Amino acid sequence: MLLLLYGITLLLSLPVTLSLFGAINTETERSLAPLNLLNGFDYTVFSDFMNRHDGAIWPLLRAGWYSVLVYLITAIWTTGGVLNSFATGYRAVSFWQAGTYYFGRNARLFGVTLLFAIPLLVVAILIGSLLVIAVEDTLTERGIALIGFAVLAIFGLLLTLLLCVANYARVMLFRTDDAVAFRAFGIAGRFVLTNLRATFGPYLLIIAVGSALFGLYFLLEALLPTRNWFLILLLTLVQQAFIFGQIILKVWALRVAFEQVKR
Amino acid sequence: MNLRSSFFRLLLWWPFILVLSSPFSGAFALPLSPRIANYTIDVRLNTDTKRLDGRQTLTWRNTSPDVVTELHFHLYLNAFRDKKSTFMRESGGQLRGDELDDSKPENFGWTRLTALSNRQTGENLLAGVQFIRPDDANATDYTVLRVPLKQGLKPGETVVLDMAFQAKLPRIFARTGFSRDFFLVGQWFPKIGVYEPAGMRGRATGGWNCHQFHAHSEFYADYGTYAVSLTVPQKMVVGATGQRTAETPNRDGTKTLRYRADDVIDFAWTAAPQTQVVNDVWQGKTGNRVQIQLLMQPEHANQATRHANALKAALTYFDKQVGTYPYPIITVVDPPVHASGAAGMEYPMFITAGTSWGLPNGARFPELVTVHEFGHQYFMQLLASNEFEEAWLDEGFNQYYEGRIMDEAGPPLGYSARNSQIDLWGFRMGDLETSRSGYAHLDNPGIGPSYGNVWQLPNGYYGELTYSKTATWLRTLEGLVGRRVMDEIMQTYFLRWRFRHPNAQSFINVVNEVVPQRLGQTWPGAAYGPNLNWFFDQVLFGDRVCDYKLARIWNYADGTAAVRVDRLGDMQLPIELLVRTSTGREQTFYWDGKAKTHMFSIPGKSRIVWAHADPKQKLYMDIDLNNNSRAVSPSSAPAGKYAGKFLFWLQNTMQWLAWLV
Repeated sequence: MLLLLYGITLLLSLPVTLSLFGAINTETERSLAPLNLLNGFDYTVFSDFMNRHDGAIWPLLRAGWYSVLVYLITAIWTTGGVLNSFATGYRAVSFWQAGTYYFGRNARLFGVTLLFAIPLLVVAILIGSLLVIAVEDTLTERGIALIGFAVLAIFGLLLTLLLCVANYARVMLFRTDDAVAFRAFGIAGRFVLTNLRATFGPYLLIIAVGSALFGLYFLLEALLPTRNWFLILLLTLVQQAFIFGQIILKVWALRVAFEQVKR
Repeated sequence: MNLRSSFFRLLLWWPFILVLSSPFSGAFALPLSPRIANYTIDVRLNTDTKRLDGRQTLTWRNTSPDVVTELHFHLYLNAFRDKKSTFMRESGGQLRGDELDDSKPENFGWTRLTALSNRQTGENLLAGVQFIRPDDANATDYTVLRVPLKQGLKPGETVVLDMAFQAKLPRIFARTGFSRDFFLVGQWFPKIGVYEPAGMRGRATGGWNCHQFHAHSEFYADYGTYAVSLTVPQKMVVGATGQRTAETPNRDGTKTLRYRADDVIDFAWTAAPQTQVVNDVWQGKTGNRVQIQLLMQPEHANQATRHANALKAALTYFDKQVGTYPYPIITVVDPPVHASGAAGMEYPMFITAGTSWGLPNGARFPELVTVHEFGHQYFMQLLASNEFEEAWLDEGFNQYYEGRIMDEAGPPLGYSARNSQIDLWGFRMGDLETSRSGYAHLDNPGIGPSYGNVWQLPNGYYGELTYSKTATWLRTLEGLVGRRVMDEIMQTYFLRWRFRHPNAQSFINVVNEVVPQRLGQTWPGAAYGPNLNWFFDQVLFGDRVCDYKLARIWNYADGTAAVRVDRLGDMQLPIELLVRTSTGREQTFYWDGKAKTHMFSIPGKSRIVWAHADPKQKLYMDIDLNNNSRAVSPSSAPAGKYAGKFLFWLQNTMQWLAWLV
């Protein structure tokens, strides 16, 4: 199942990536200059390239966004399959069937999540801005920055809590075979808040592991200079392992919720 | 005379010798400049009303062969009196991203002359003054004042004027004014223009050069001495042009600080209660010693070393590559973020930098601004060009040296040409390459010349044409004539024109003198003519664009080979071609770069692996350096690297958003 999820990510990303590879190769017109980009970064080469060839690159970057949107829809679909696999074990046919069966309610739940997440973002920006305006004449730059960080941290924590509730709501929808996303979100919210340590705790831990993995990745990237094809491929393998790790974490979070609700 | 008596005589004379040899020893100092406009100013700052009350005595000498019948003065602060001044009309009430909040009347500023008399004759000249608009027909601009003299001033004569003035400082958005309790006081006193006799800077007839204050223009003034007394509340920490000579507390809770600055073209000062003073010293290898005074915001105090190191790097570089900094002090003001409109500005011996709390070391903005503003001590102050008419002579030259210093100054900065501006999370930008990018990546790099009155340059392109394009063509000139000759050009130009008012022709004459002397007829540019007028016609006075392209490589079946280079732009410059063959041999060829296309037949029988036009990037103005080279079998690894990165971040975005579903 994990390989399937990873395969979908890769499959949706590869076409636009290969197109980009081809476009860069064509647009550099056999120049020697891009070789300066191999070991590090060269602003002159990069900016000259983007200045003259952005017309070939931007459409591909936009296509990348469309791939992300397609993946989002696919991820809504796979959620049902993943939950079904927790209950009955992974079988391709039942994964497909469960994904299709739960797609509608998971899509509605996504809508409900956005319904809470977007106002939260707006409120955070509003409160942050108002706070900064209110104190900018009295506080120092450091004070203003700390207020900004505090607002950001509170927003991040609330958003994580919201996503945790949404995670449990997905499990609720599956286990109770309920189709009303709002109701499931409400039940999940109460469940998470009454079992905060057992529910939000592991969720935060998983997010922290994901962040630590990111730190590890940047460390590895710094240690791996991409001087030639071999090193480029080696870094690509590291990158893909990291993506696979992220998929594991996402499934793990859902599994934890599944087990908590079962208990 | 025996040795012993000579020694004692020397001891007796020693203090006098010291006084005479020091350029800043008050009245005994030997003038470094013509000292045409000399000011004694006594001013009081009211921090509540943001007003200045001042009296000044101007001693002005007519160094021209003309009889001068009127004087012209800048009243710069009147640019901020309302939205109808030329400055406000041109700028729209904003400068460099900082905007004037015009909803509050207290944010505007003005200056008013309340008394004006000729000390020698006792005549009151105030009644005869009138505002004039030499640049446009804007009847609501009050930044230039004409003062008719009842008796003409003959050549060599001096006039002494006693003046009183009041000024209201604007809220800072364009260099000068107040922001909360921070004051940066620049362009604040009635300042006489420059009288240019016939022949000076290409003038046909003598006359005043005293322009209105424009949105993008800076200033132009004669050298002189300044003895300034500043009265401010006692809690204020003050910094100013020149050296402080006295500080006296007053009974009314104020203090009076006296400053002296000789052989300068302006005087600016700052006052703020929340300031941490950091002192340092730069000692040059030739024995020159400069006191460094940093006026830091307390929460930026941990960045004082960054500022000091940048300043020392700039002092060392200029001292070695251009000429000696002749003043004893340089003061750097670090304005608060709420007064960022005052950041990044230059006055004699006094510059403003700019930073913010928590700025990482990889973002080298404090260093960059410090190096840049210090550079103006050379290209604005020591070489006092006319920044209204030829801003490129200051800003462009300074931008070029900012790039050189940031990219290659070595310790204590030690950056490289690839990361001297930004080095954060793998993203790197050098200084000079940023200047080039600012010009080369314009929608239309041929939009206009660097040369011209700044208010008449194509709208919205002042920075690109004045700073970026000039720095880029100076680097191109360096590429063509070589670093050694370029340094000789700059040193000659500096020595010849310091404490004077150079113009474009001053610099061109030096280039046309040094280059043929040093390079003769042996360098590729000699094919264009006996001097470098062809170069300046294209890069300075013209709007031509440079773009050479390595179009094609042929490896023929009979073992011969050829390379074609195309000239895509309309600029013509001599260019080199480097060719590498499969045997590992590299050969250099030359082309005058004039024709639209040129075929190079490669002698010998070997296959070309790659060819590179202008391999050393001498033609830095070339707007696309990537198309200068071509390989027969290019590596696709760079494309692989960026495709891999793209794949990774695309998948990451997918995974991040997947937490929502």
